[in-house]
Amino acid sequence: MERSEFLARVGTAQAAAILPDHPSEDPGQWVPDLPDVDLVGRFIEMAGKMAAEVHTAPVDDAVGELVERYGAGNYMSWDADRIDGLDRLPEGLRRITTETPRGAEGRAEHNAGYMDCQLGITGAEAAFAETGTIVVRSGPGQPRMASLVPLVHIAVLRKDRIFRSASHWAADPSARMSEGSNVVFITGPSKTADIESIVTLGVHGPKHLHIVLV
Amino acid sequence: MTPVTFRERSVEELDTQKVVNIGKATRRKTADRIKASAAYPPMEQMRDRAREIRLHTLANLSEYLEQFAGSVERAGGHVYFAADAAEANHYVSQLAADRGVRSIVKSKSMVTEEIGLNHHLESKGLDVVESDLGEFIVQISGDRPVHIISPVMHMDRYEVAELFAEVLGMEYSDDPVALNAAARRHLRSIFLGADMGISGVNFGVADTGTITTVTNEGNARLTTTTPRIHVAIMGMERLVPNAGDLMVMLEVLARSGTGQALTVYTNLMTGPRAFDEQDGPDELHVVILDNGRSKALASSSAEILACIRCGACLNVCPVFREAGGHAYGSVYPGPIGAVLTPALFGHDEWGDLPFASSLCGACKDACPIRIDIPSLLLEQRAESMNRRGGEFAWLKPGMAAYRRIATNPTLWRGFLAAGGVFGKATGDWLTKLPFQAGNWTSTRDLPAPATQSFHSWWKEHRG
Repeated sequence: MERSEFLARVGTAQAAAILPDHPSEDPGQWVPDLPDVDLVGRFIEMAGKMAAEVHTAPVDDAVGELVERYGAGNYMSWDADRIDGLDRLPEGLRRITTETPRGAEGRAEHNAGYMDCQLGITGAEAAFAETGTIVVRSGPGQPRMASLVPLVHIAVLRKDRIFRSASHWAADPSARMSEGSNVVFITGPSKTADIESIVTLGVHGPKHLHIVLV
Repeated sequence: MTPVTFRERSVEELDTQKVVNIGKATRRKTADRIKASAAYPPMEQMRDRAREIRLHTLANLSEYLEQFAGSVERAGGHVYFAADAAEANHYVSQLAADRGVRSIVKSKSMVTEEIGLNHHLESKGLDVVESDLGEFIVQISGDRPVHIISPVMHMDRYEVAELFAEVLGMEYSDDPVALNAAARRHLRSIFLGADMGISGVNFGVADTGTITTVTNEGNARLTTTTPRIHVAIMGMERLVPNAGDLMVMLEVLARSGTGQALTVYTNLMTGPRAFDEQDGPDELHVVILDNGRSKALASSSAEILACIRCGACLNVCPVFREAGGHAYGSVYPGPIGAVLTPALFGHDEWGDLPFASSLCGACKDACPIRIDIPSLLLEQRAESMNRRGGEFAWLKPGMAAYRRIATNPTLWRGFLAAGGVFGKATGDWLTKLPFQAGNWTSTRDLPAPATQSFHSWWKEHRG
């Protein structure tokens, strides 16, 4: 249907709509009033409840320890200069390329390389203490896939980027929700409860989520 | 013969293992929701806020739609307005043909169920695979989703185990971990090779053109990232004005739907892959669907379009718990479905659904948007009666007689006294009533009327 025709039909319908009382202006920005807490402490507590593990060791040490723990042989990553506090990417592991070909040719072959990726390393530009959530944005040197296809996701987060809640973050000028084609809020590892409401981790995304605080 | 009414369908569902499983799962989900809401003090205030946002958006929908479409296009996406299911389906299959698409992967979306998109695409020779674990099980078993959030709530792990052993060729295991691992492996190769990904939209943000999907598994992220074309199908009412509004909706949705503080992956997408990004889809198409929604908006049940599809009303509904989702025969079951289905698709086929309710009000209480579902059910019942008056003609003389008795004190007292005599003669419970009243006593007993009316008792004791 033509756009103008579609919108005209909706316009006629909304004029006839019988709706309960509502504000005539957009309700706008709103931030819930919550008692003060230690944001870092609250974040560690809530992320833990969401089955993520939070680390406070220096980034390079924490990453090295996790590479060893999972016996990882390959990884994918954001560019090192996109991750606060990370001096070097892990050595002795194969890095899977994330630069995806454009167009119909070669994409499936490229994607096939992701099949058994073990480790993904990314930054996180913000976090919500109240829900144990990290915010991961796509951009140059920041592929979406690194937080999605590996079995283990390591995200590096600056402590001073922890906000109280999603609404607190959205009200901050740094939020810029529509910058980058993808912003994802990640709360714990991938999971499902589709079979008998039994929680199972690692469905399509990572089975393990590690957050390194710097 | 295929059952055509709620009553006929529900008879096949009652007392089956299926509804026992549904009863268990809905009670657990309800407990989780109440716990998650109580754990977050601003929740009640957020519900009020969410209601204001949704109603304000509906009252100004055409303006927000126009703004949203412009924002999506500025971000590099395409927008198509589809008047009905046929237009939406045609747009997607035509796009697939134009772009040489062979395989399609889908993330869970009720609106695509509503328009029968899978069936349409398959009829054009395309492979379509559902990637949400529950929807995947539905697809390979040839079943239908039983719940808008938990599509296989009615199945137990043994059924899934047998299905996977047969269809995926895995060794029989009823361990959910092993079943999940098999599905992950099977679906991952499909994701990585797909040309087109189709998702629904939980919310569209008018001022930025951002669309969101929420999933726990990560299937919507894969669907919208690995294939070169992303098609998002959105019911036209699913907008919010801005980012601040979106946050309120997301927190309310997660706590009400699954009892989580936030869903694992809340995915915000604005346009396709940018020129300097390493991955993401080359193209983004947003299909905005009417399919009966403008008709519903123009009605006295417009409030139903404020629904955010959390499923909380299904989980608390005594009818849904006993009859299950399939008894409704609609993509949208439960209290919300009993209003939405006739409002969208007409009363000729769906006019009996609003009667599948005891009007107990649990749905209104559970609804995060505080939608007055019982009142809307009554609106829809009235609409059904207006259209189908002839079928209910037998009710009219009875109701007329009742009206006459109930509005005349002398007749009314006589009626009550007669009831007392009747009660004395029959004991405490009536187990068999004559004529149409037998519909009640065929499945349950009715307490016998008291032998003395309160009116006459009062006269004797206090008068």
